[in-house]
Amino acid sequence: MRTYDIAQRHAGSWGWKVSGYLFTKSIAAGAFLIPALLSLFDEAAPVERLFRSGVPLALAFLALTGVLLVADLKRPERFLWVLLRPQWKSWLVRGAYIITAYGALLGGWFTFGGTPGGFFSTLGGILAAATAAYSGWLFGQAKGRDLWQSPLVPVHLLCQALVAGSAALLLCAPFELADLANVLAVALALDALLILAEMHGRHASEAAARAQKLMISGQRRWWLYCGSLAIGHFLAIVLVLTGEGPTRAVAACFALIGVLIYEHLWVDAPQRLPLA
Amino acid sequence: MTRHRTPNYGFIIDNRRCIGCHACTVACKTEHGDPIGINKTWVQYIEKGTWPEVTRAFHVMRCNHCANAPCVEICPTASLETRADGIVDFDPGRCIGCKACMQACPYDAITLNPDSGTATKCNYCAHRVDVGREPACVVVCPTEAIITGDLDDPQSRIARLMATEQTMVRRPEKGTEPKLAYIEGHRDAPRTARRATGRAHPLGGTNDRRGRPGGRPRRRARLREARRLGRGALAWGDERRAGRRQWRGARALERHRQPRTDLPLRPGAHL
Repeated sequence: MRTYDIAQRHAGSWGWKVSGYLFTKSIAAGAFLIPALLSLFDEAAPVERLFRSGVPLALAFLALTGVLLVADLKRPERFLWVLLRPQWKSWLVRGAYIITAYGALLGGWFTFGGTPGGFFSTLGGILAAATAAYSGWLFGQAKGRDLWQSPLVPVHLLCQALVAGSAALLLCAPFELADLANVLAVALALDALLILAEMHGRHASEAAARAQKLMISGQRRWWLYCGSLAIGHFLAIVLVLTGEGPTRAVAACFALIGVLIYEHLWVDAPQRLPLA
Repeated sequence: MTRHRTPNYGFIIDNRRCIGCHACTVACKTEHGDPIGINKTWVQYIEKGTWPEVTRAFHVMRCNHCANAPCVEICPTASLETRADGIVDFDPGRCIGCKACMQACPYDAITLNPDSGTATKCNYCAHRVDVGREPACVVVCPTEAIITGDLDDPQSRIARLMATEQTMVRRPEKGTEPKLAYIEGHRDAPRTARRATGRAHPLGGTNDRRGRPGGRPRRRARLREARRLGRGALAWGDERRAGRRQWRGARALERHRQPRTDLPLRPGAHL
């Protein structure tokens, strides 16, 4: 049997800009979420220093996220309509408002300062978590792509934000807080488990299973297993737990690369399957 | 006193009548002035069997005007909306070109207009329907294979067909409640449809030596078929290169091929 079809080219309608947006958003969310979480357990002084590095970092990457989002639009001059003409059922709109609120809080913190563990720290932590996770529901609304329908996606994105945030902070402020390395190691282990569950677990539909197969076969297999899992997770965990200073910086770089590779593969693979 | 009721428009494609002439595609493009490469309705050719017992069926694809349309839900600016009469309409003046609707549609029915940078899709020729006319594809179809009308009106032809014929819808598991139903839909049509339009030989390489589909084409048979068909609509270019490409494509296709489940038998009364 053979089918002849028209040459609809929808394969890459969400390309590197969307995977890049996920990556920069993970760093932006994690860079505030990590200090906000640590402020519940650690001493105030080192966490405050971490906030001083984390807030500008989060602001910069949130701005980059916005740039990527707007650049991906085919009518970028209309980007404000997402906020001004909203259709509230769309997670694109809800996400845009979450990002805006998070950006406003970061801007306020950067300008006026804040107290670790205080109201704005908690609120910022919640907004950062929402910024990280909302894309899971947004991708879930894309019913054409079965791999994105998993209910674990928001949790996974949150975990990736913890990895990306702690890795970026470890690069920017390596000596501020000793706990940061442990946080990165735990987040990486959790993220690796989630990736393995996603790639080797059972899927609800054939299309999801086929997208999963695309990720673990062919050239993508090497990127996933060698690039993301072996180097970006397992080697990064070993280096961050055993090394000091520059070694930990290398581990953080590996972790960021691992997250980026996985997010790109996850965005790209389901779109390679034709719908019609 | 006559009570006015809002209609609930839908489509039936009667595959017993479709001759695959593409008139609907051309009429649609003309009606909407679509640029090259934009097809809001198109025809898939599905070939089955082993030569000489080969059949070709046609499958007209387009927006399903779902009652629970995922494209409407994901659209951030309400550029896509479900009208009261069930038509999923599109306003390019509100579209920001985020392409989310293209990801949301399980039927690949939304595409991007390269001229305007906005999404585009079949809108049931809403501008014609509003003045009491039928969609352009319906008017032009030479065999009346496309039937439109009010699904909720028991006297309408479409409702009678729904009630009396066995119809199928695509991907009902998505919960979109599509309002495009097929009579004699092709359950075996692969999801992994060939996309290299006009690049491959239509017959060569469809079967292996045991008669199974997707095998390596025998070169002599392929060339014989190429000579026989001459320069058919689906056979231009270098036949030998096309055959090799086709074989690789068929192998790749086989690896990911799954039995199609998106066109199950479904009684028409569900709509």
